[in-house]
Amino acid sequence: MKKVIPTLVAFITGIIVLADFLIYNPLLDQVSNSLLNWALLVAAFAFIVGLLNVLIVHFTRIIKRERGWPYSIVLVLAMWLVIIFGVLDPRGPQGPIVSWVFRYVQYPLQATLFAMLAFFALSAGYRAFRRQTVDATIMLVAASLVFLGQAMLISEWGKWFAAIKDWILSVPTVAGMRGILLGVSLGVIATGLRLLLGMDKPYAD
Amino acid sequence: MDLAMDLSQKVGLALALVFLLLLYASRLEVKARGSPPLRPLRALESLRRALNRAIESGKPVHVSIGTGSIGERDTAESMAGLAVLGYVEEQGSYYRTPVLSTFATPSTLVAAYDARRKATEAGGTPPPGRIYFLAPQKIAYAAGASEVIKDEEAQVNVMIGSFGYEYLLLGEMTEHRGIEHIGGTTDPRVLPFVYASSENYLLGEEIFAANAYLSSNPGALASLLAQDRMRTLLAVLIVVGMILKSLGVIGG
Amino acid sequence: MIYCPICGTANRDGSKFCNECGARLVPQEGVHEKGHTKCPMCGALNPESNEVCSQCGARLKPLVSIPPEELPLEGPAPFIKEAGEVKPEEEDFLARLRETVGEEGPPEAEEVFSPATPEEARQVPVFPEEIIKEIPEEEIPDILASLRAKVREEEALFAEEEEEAPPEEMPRVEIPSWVTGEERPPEEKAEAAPEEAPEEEKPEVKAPPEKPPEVEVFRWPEEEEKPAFAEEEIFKELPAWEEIKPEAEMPPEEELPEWLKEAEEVKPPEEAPPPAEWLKEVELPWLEEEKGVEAPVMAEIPPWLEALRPLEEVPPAAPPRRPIEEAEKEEEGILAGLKGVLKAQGAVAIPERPAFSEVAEVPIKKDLLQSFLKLAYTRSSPPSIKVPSRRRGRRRYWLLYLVLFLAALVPLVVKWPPMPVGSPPSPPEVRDFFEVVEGLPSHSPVLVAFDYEPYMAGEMEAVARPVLTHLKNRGCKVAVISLVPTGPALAQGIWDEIAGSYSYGEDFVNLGYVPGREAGLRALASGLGEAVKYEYVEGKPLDSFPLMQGINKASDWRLVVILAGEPSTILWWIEQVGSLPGVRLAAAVSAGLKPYVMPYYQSGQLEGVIAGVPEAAHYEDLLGSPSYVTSFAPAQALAVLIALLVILAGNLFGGGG
Repeated sequence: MKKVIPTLVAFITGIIVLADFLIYNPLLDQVSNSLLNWALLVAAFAFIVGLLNVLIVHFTRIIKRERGWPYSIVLVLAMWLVIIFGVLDPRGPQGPIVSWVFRYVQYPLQATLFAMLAFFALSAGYRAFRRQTVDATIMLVAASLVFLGQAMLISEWGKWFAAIKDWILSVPTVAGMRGILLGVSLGVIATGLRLLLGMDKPYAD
Repeated sequence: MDLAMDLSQKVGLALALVFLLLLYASRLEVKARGSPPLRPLRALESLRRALNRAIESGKPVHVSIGTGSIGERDTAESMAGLAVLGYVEEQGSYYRTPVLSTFATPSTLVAAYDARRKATEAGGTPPPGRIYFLAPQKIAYAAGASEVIKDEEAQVNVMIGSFGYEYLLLGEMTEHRGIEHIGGTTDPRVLPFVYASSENYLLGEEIFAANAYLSSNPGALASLLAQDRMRTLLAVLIVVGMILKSLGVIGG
Repeated sequence: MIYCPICGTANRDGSKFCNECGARLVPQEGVHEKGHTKCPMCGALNPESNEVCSQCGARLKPLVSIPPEELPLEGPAPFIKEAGEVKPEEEDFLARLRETVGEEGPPEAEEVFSPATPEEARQVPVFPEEIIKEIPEEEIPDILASLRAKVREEEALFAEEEEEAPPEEMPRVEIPSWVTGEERPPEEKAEAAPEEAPEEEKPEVKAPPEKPPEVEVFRWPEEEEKPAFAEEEIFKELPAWEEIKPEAEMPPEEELPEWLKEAEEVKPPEEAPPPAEWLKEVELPWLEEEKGVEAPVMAEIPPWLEALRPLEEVPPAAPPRRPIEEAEKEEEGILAGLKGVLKAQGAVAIPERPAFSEVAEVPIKKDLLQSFLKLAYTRSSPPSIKVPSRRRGRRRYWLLYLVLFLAALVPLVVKWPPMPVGSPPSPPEVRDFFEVVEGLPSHSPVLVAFDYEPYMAGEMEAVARPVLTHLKNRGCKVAVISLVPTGPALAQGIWDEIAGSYSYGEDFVNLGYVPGREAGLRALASGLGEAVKYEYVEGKPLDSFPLMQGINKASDWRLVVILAGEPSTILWWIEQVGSLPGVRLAAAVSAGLKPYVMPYYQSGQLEGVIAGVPEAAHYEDLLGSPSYVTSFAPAQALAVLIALLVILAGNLFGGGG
């Protein structure tokens, strides 16, 4: 019984949402929407677990003086400051303090970190091509052609490179992408069906 | 009841039904004949070896299942990552090897606690090592995970699940520290980076095979079999379509 | 106290795992789980129908139905063949050695572990305490370590062959080759050698001299025998490990070691039944290898020995001899290049092949002895160990990074190269986007989704600006919404910059953040009021704004523009909102998403696509007012080209590897 009920709940919920996607029916729509709202609530509660995890992990680090523990102090303090100001402000997360934190801390930090991606892409690409395999060579050639097609610097030849680039992007790439996406969606469908049918109950018992 | 479905819905439904049948048939087949022969996947072999090295050295293994969640589009990828995490946690429990796992979404965090509980049941003791909830923002997550790997001196970094560009950020940061990393994801825009940054990669749906490879779970094996058959069919269709389109026989 | 079968560490009673090495101390339980069988070796779950573990190849169902007579006899064949390859001068010595040992002890086959029941097969036998106590906790002697290094090298090929054999090809019903002892993972002796020695020497000491020495045919599987003596006795009579150790530690490199000289000296007496004294002297941990050599030539068993044949008892020393999962080659440190030296995943749990290992040790031990002898004769210097360095490339990366940084920075500063206007022509999907916006009637309500996180802002702002500028130029009424919490702030910032002065609520309204991601979007699709109750800036109800009059559902917008940095969000929009009747979607996305969205453009679900900075530059070009994007797009393109050249040059001129 302990195992039947979760499976049954998963099955019925899944069937309702699936049917709602395929069939237009007002009642089904309503039930399905409520279920999705419940899912939101559950997800929100999961955030409390996340909060507790952060607190426990970082308090442990501070108490045990683990490597990098001062950063844990900064983290916990910053977290509470943002939470407190966010809650105290009548406009919530859109209040001036949280907005300030977003604009002058989060935004530049994230953008800067992301900019490092360009460098990492370069070093990863460099390493990949140093493997000197057939696939790496194909990748290098294709990448060169696409880059040249986008470069917009050489106006006379530009249209030829652009044509090649368009062909690469619209024929082999899209076909390959479709293959990957279809393969992935097969995996997704399989996972969904397996969960739906209770063939495996990975996190339900 | 209005059954006014558009084409994609019809195709989707048909696909799901065909797949359901295939899945059921494969399930019976696995039950009757046992595990099908599996093509060796280098990344998973490397994962086992890397795990052995971690067990030998006593250094932690870091597992990231990506920045996806459970309950959304990337659920399947996250589940694939969780299967790998479950395997690593179980090994960690058997051999007292620390397992670090980092999470970007709370729903996967809850699942991770569950995976640890199961590993504890299987192995007797919970594996050493922490479960970290880092940040829902992908880049912040990548930065945090990279710090965890550095601070805890991980031996190997396993990244299988749903990743965006943060894959490259995390993968290169660990690679530059000389830490081996094994990765796999499904997002086509990230796949070039997966390919480039490590020699141990799982591309696309290969990550869904991880569960079957590592756990030998009959359900996972059956779905692997069904996926393969369905994919063979679709692959043929795609190749034909690509040729026809290049020749200009069909347009659009 | 429970003693670890692997390392001998004493653990608290009730412990399941060794505190020192982590090996399992108690037999694993719960082998059956819901319709499948748990592999006793690696813990993988297998369908009940599996004969062998699909994971590690361990046998799940014992071979009870096959009587020992039917077992193949070819087991020791390769061993005999290989024994013939010994150098002539060694051959004589070996042959005599073999004879001698053959006289003394029961054959190696006594060790065969043949479980009678499934339960027995799955259990990892527990090492009896008495034995464990006797096993000294010494380190592996140097001599053995260097010896192994040599053997590993020689057997590398052998091991690789075996690794490649996929487990699933193993025949289900026939006896697999590992049972016959044909193939052996070489690593096993690393674990086995030192610990086994005391136990196995015992029969030699006691061996009656009248045993017939001449044997040619080996029929080991039938010859399971049990030593006639209890283990306690063995250890009383045997020399303790500590006594042996000093000899064993002697370096083998320079000259013939003392013990070997001694061994040669005592060779003559081999013809006669050897006295226990000399044996004690020569008894070294590797001595059992000689036993290994002898095993295949054993055939007939004297009746008195036959009578001692064990019925079901399993030799207690099984766990330490379990092979390690695979020949793990060390890559770093002083052990680099060696295989299986350190325990991989614990010796008990995950052998590449299952537990019936003792018989199969035979050829390996022979190899060990053989290479040991070769070592003594030929080796003059230890093998050089190459420690690969993984950090080699680091400095070069910094050079790469510097080049890229300068390539991006310099053109921005010097404002070169300029944007070549009108060439090459804009891609059709960009022109389509332009046409769609151009075709909107004035004052059309347009919904713009800002679905990218701040980290994507660098690229996405370049994409968003021309689109928003165009919408504003067309006089459209723009409402922005976001599925990410930080989106509304980003949108507000950009619109404030672009529009300058505008009437909030009439020309522009910020609907804020829709929580719940995909579910939130579903709610939005079923009705705007479902997802958004209040707008973002002033927190007022939606219908208090003129712009929102008459807008109730998604198709009331003339156009929905999605600014997406992640594939998931654009797919949500296409699925949840784009599938609704009467909704027109266009996407302006990050360059990485282009292959992602193009299928939807080609299928008509997206009416236009702008992907990344280059296409945004094209869009600005089409707008006829090059400003923001065109100021840095050429510089970016140049940086990309330089990066490409660096990669090419590095590969062409930097040499291989």
